[in-house]
Amino acid sequence: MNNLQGQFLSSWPCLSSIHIPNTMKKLFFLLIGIISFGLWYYSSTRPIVQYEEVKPYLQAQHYNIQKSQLLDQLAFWVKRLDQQSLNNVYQQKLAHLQAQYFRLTGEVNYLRQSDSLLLDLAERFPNTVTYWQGLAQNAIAGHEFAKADHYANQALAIGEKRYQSCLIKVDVLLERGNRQEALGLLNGLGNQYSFDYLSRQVKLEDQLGKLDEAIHWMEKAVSRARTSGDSSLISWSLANLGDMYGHQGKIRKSYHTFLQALQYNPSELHAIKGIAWIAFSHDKSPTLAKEIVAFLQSLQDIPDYELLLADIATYQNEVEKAKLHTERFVAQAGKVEYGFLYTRPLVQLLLDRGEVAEPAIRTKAEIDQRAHPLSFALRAKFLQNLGAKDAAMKILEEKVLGQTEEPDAFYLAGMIYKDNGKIKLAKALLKTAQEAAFELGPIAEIEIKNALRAL
Amino acid sequence: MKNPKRYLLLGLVLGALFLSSCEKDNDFNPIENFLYQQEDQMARPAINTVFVSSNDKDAFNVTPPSQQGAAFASKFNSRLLALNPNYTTNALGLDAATFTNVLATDVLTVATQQPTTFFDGTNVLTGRRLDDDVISVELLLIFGGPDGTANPGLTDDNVDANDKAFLNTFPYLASPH
Repeated sequence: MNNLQGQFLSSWPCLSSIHIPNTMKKLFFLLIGIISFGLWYYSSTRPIVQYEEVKPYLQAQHYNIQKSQLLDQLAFWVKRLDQQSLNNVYQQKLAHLQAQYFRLTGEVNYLRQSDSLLLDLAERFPNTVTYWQGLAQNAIAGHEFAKADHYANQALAIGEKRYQSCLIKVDVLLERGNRQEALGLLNGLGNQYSFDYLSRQVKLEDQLGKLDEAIHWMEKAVSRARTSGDSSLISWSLANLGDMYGHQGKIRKSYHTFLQALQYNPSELHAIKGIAWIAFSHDKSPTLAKEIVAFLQSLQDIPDYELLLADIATYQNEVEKAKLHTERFVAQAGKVEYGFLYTRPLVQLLLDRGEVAEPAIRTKAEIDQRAHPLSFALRAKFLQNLGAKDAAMKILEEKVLGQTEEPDAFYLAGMIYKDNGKIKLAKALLKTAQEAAFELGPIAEIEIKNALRAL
Repeated sequence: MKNPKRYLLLGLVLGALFLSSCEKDNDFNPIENFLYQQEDQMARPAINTVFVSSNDKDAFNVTPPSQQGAAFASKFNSRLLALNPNYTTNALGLDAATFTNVLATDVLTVATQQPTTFFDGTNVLTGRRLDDDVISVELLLIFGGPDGTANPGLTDDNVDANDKAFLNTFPYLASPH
C-alpha cells in the first residue's frame, strides 16, 4: 500500500482498522467511481431550470409598476414643457426619461423622441457635452454606430467630462470591431476602478476572446455595483455575468446568476430571457421555454422573441410554426422605425432564405455602420449565396479570420469553407463554433454536427 | 492489489468531475481596490461655469483651491476682458488682474464675526445666504465699472427672489416644485 492510498484509507476509520481483502478494496474504489460518475452524469444532464424557482418572476406586477412610474415622470415633464417649450432643463429631463423608457419597454418611438429633443438641444447649445453624450448613447442603443461615432467625437472635442466621453467612444470602437484603438483609449484613462470602466474592460476582454479574464472583471463590476446599492445596476450586471457563465459552459452557474439578478430586480427581463434560453438550449424543454417567452411577449412588443420562438418551433419539427414566427420577425424587425436595430439577425435570416436584393442593401449598410468582422462574415455569406465563392473566401481571409472570437463568425465562415471544399479549414472553424453550441443554440448545433459529419 | 492507484484515480477524477459540475458559488470577493475620485467642486455660484472653458473644466474641478490661482488666474483674466473689454476696476476697486486672482481661487469665504452675506452694500463675501442675489452681485462686479453704473442692461439678472419661500428649518431650501 503506498502513501497516498494509506492517507486516503486512514481517513475512513472503518477501513484502516479492519483488514479487508484486496478484491473488496478494488470493488470499493470501483463503487466510488461508479457512484461519482453516476452523480456527475445525472447532474450534467438533468434539467437546470426549475419551474417553481422561475414562476415567481413570471408576473407582470413589478414590471408594470416600473413602467407606470416612468410614464408618470414622463407626463410630469411633458406638462412642464408645454408651459415652456424651449426650457433646456425640461427637455433634457424628458429626453433622458424617454431613453430609459425605451430601455425598459423596447418601444423604439421613445428612442426617436429622445433623439429629436437632444438634437434640438445640441443645435442650440453646441458646447454642452452631455447632449452629445446622450445622442451618442442613443445612437448606440439604436445600432447607428456611424452616427454614434460622430457624436462621441463631438463630445470629445468639447473636452469637458472627458472620462465619460472616452468610455462612450470605447463602446463605439468595440461595436465597430476596432479593438486596438479601444484598448489604447481605455488604458489611458485615470480612474480604472469605476463600474463604468470595469464594464468596458469586460467587453474588451470578451472581444479579445479572453472569456476568463472578462468574467474576472465582470465579477469585480458586480461587486462594484453592489456597493452602489442601485438594484437595477446590480441586476443588469448580474444578468450580463449570467450570460458570460453560459458562454463559458457553466450553465448551472449562469442560471443561478440570472435568478440572483431577478432577486434584485424582478423586471430584469434579460435575465428571464436568459433562463428561457437555458430551458431551450440546455434542458431541451421547449414547452417551458415557450411559456417563459410568452410571458416576456406579454410585456414587451419587440421582434426579438419571435426569433427565439422560430428556433424552438424548428427544434420541435413544427415547420409551419417556425415559418410563421420567422415571417413575423422579418415583418416587425424590417419596419422603418427600427432603423438599423435588427440588421444582423435580419440579414442572417434573409440569407438563410436565399434572398438577394434585401441582404445586398442591408449587409452594405451594416458594414457602413460597423465594419466589424461579423458584418464582413455576413457579406461573405451573401457573396457565397450569389455563387461568388472566391470573393466570399477573400473577404473571410482579409476581414474575419483571426480578427474576432464571435461564435457566429466561426459558424458562418466554417459553412462557407465547407461548401467550397476547404475541408481542413472548415473542420477547424466548425469545431470552434461547436464549442459554443450552447450560445448558438440547438438548431445551429444540429447543423454544425451534420456539417462536420459530412466533411 | 495489482494496481490500486488506478481505481483510486478513477474515483478521484470522477468525484472531481461531479464536484466541478456543482456551480452554485455566487458570492464574489469584494473588490480590493477602492478608489473614490473627486468629480466636481464649486464655491461661488456660476464662477466655474462662466470663467472656465470646456476644455479646462475637468482639470479645474480637481485642482485644489490653493493651486487654482496659479493655474487659472490668467485664463480668468482673458475671459473677463473678453466679456467686458472696457473693464477698468469694479465697485470693490479691484483691477482686472487682482479681481480675477480672487475669482480663480474658487472658495466661499466666511467671516465669523460679521453679518453673513455675499454682498449687502457694506460687507463683501462674508458668506452667502440663500436669498442673496448672488448672480446680480457678480454681474455688477464684472460689468458695473468703478461705481456700479456702467452697462446697466448687464448688471442685473432681474430675478430678485426665489419663486417659492425658503424654509426656516433644515434643509432651509424650498421643497421641489
